[in-house]
Amino acid sequence: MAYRLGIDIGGTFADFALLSNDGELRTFKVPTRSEDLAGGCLAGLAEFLADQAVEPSAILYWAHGTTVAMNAILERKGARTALLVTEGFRDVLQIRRQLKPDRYDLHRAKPESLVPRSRCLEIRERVLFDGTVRVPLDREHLERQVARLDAEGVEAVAICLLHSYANHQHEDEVRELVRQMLPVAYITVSHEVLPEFREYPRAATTVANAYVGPSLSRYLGRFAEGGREMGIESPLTVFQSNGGITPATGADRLAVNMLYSGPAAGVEGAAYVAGVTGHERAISFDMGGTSCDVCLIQGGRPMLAQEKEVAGFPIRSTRVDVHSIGAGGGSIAWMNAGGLLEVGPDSAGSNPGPAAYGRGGARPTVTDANVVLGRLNGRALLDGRLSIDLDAARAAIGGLARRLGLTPEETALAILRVVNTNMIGAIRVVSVERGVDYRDCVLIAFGGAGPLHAVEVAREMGFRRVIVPLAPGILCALGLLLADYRRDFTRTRMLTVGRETWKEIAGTFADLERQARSWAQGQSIPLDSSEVFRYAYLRHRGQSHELRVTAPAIRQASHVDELLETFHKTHTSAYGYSDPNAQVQITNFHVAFVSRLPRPPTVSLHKRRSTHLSDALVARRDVWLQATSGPVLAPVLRRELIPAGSTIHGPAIIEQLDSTTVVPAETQANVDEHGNLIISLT
Amino acid sequence: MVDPTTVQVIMSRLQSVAQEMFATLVRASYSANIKERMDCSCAVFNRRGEVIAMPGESAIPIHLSSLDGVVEATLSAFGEHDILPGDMFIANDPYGGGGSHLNDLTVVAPVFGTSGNLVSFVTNLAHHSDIGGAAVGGRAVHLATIFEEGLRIPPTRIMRGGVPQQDVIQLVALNSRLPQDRIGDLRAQLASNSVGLRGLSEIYERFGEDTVRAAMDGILDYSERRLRSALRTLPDGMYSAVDYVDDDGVGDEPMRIQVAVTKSGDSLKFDFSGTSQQANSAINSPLQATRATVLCVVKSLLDPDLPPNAGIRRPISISAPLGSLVNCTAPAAVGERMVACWIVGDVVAGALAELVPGESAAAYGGQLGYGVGCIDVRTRQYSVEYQAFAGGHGATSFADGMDSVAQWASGAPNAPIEADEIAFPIIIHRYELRDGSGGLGQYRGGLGVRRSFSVYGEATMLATVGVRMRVPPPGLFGGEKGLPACVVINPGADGEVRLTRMVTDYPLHPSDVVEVQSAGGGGWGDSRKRDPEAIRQDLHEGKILPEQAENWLRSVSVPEPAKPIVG
Repeated sequence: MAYRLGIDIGGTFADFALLSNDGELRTFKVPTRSEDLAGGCLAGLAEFLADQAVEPSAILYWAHGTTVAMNAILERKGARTALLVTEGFRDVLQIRRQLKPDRYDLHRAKPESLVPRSRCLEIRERVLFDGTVRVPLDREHLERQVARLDAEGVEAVAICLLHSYANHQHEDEVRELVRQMLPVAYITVSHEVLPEFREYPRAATTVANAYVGPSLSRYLGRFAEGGREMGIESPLTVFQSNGGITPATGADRLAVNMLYSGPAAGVEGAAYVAGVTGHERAISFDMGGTSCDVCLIQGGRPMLAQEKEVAGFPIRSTRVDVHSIGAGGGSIAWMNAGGLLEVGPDSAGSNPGPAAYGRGGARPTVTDANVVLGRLNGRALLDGRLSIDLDAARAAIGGLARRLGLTPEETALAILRVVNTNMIGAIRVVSVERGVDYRDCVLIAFGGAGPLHAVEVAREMGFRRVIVPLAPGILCALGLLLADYRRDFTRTRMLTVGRETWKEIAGTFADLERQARSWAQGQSIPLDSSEVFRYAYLRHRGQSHELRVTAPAIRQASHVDELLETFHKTHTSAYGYSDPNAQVQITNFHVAFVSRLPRPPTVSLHKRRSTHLSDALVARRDVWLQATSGPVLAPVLRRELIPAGSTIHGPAIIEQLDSTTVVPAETQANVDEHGNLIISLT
Repeated sequence: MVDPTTVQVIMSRLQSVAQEMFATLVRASYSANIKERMDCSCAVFNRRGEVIAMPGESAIPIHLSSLDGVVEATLSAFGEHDILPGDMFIANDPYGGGGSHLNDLTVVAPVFGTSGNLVSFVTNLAHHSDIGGAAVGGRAVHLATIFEEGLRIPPTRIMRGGVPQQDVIQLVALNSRLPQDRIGDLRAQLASNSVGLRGLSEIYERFGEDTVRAAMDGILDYSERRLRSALRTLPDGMYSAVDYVDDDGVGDEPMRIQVAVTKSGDSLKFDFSGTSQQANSAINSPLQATRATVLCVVKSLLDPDLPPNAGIRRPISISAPLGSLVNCTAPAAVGERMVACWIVGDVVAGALAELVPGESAAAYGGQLGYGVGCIDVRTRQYSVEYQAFAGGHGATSFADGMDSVAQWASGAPNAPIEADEIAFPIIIHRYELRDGSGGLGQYRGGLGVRRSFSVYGEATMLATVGVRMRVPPPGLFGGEKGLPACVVINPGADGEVRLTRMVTDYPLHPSDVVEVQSAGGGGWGDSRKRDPEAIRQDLHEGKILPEQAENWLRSVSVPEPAKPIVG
């Protein structure tokens, strides 16, 4: 038997998913060891494999989703980094876009840049927008500047010169000299990380790459070595923000592509679930302890975004377009200055956690509200491993209830309405704000708290169907198992799109494709199952933002007409109009290289142990669904005991190790042959 | 009567709709002002014409109040009987239901509930790049009347029964130097309102007309209550401040802006008596813009998270002499109203500093912008561009001012250097912080910037607009003033020219180097109380000059005078 292995490290747990050739899935969880992430995870892996009696050499594929890169930025634990820029522009990281983080709140300062001003040094050189050299590189001056870096003890150097996307000769020369003078430093040049115009996002992205590169490099090296020592012969792969994997060897050179490794894996898992349940369009709804992440899935694929702020920095790197808000089980409910109830974004986290965890938390949280309402088990969660203190939850909610003049149950219901409304706002951001009608989508609920809230959110918004995957708490690890190799290559080149420029357009795409193939060959990634996707960033001349459209393979002048037609169609669907007579300009070229890996036909959690739905009924308890009607006595079912093909009429509560699903009245849940819960509304 | 949670839920849903309208407008428009600088706004109004919801922090604060009166003007122009489903109305006259200058085109759409009755409105406003008039882009400080600033539009039907009225659209387009952009931007505005109409109809269907109406009232009450309760905790008193605009852009005299603030119980009064008469130039602020600036400062200092709706206007009254710089009357020109508004922000904040010393901020370095027009030698076409550079943020009672950011009511992001050099025949030589420009104090003012460039066009003309060139940003509570702004032509060369007032039609040669320097922010508190570690850090980062550090060292080594210095 051969196996695939996925390992996802989150803030509190490391999740493991092991999939055999015949499609049987086994899972495991260990607490995250924050002082030694790799060591703790490898120890957990060894235990899991021993437990399952799986030979490490039988693992033919393993993929890792890691938060190391993101944490380095969030916790400011990256490398001591310097930035080299064109003379006159050392303050690119300081000036940013001349905006405050918040237009009104004077207390919210600009985030401190990852490189302090004193380590931003200028280099005498200048390249113009068309790539011509206006000022040749002054090597003597450069040597003096690099000597200063040496004295400063820098570990990483980011190099970002003006217009390097048009001519990178100077960046190459600077890199060479830095390499000679600082042989151990980690060096990043902007034209490799992001060969696109707009210097501030490019500099910020280059700096972020340099800042996280060394720690990611050390971490992945350690992880891969640990795997080899354990006897895993296949090479380690890493999950990237773009939803694909890449070999761990060399992944640290583009460390910035790993920032959203974790959330991307969850969305990939949701896309897989959407696929097996036969849905092209879906919204992934991942609610955990501190945040709720949502993402639109269209045509079976997660939507991708290019630029997103990370800790206040505009990082440009292809990533799944996840929108995240501070709404989770640990989100704290409070009364604001105007006397209204608010929930989050502050969270009780995992320590002390919600009052119901009995670890000293006293402020009311979403989890406490769910406990008070009987939606969550009032005695224990995680199959008994986490005991629940119902009285503490009631006390926390009761304090807020007195201030609001409501009963504890009314308060708890109000907390759920408010947090649900916040999440509705998030779902609208990834759908309505992007011009997409979410009512054509299914909602895929996962994460520890997603299935608790999803059906009410869906009902409020008019979704017709909610899907709760068989293991909602480990969907990220499942996403890791089912990934393909993917890397994105982009380049700025500005051309007017027309038949007269077809050769230049075709040539630029061909260059990027060549670059993609040579990367794949260098990494021994199979080309025979590979595919190339071309995208063009187009705008009407005079506009300053581009639309990304899928480009055809351009082999003759008339193919350009097709590209233009796609652009006008996209523009019309996004904005309601387009101007076919206006000149269209291409600014950026984008090639996505994907090499497909074989997938098992089905995934199932384990052999079913029951054939009758009645075996799954483990209890009945009072559950508050609405304030007016009081509690209802609802059946409580064990998820793993529910046979495939069953139908459950709400109200019902479905409990499993990693989550609890609320099936309200007037909805019904069906269990499909893969074990997914399909909840129909109306 | 609806319960508070329903108010909260509906408020959040309405805000989502405003945000969706905003996103649509930004995505679909043509003008760089709208797309890159988000110089636009969207709002949901109740049937009485009061703002209920606006997009959150993304909108520029000058638009907090720009849409005021738009719905009332439409209602009074057409009457309710002539406002029908599928209609939309356009306007831009700041003296009759438009925005706060002619470039801001507003579009109003009535919302009809499930019963078929008129129940509310959605509206949006967008800064169009050119709306005709004597100057390209409407940007010319020397224009004396609004008639020279472009096309004035009273409330006019631009959509009837869901059909865009091409005659009206063509009328606007014909009056613009960039007709295609006008059509594109107007389409974006209609699309934005359509998104708003869809969003609102979902909310009416879900909650019912009565509940939504009651919740809208509850939303206004909520913001009012929240602001009043913040005011009640503060001492009653009267506070005042005076400051100056350098000049009106045509003459040499400074223009005075004065405010007296009375805080009593849970209300605030702002009286601008003593402010200069309106100018014979375009720097005048219509009352909407003055009010937006006041609201922005109040919100910033008292409760930054206050939901921006008409409820926050209830505890605040503003009186400004009619015909003054801050409440101009027709036909005063208003295109460069921000010149007055930047100083309005500073005087309002200066007066409120005595009321909330623990949340106070010293004066802003303001902004200094330029417009350049020339023939682009690369394309042989006439080409124009505008840039504005932010000065340093005033220091606050708790932190150094941020370097080169928007403060108070306005502020647009900068354009990337690489995008600028691609789009325009310009070479940018430097774009860097102006070391030593922040006013020292216990907390230091933020730094201004220095941007220098040459334009390789033909027949190149420069215009500049800004503040704080001759009247530097004052410090607060003993803090020092920031370094004033200026424009230097050919710095350090033989023919160096320092421009410390606004210019129009200043000819440039391709070999000329233009250096725009924005002002540093004012300092807060006595600089002798500054943490020595902060001085050391400033010096290490190069944010203060060595001689400033030496002076500071000398000042702390002499004994303090008996009486504290108050600025």
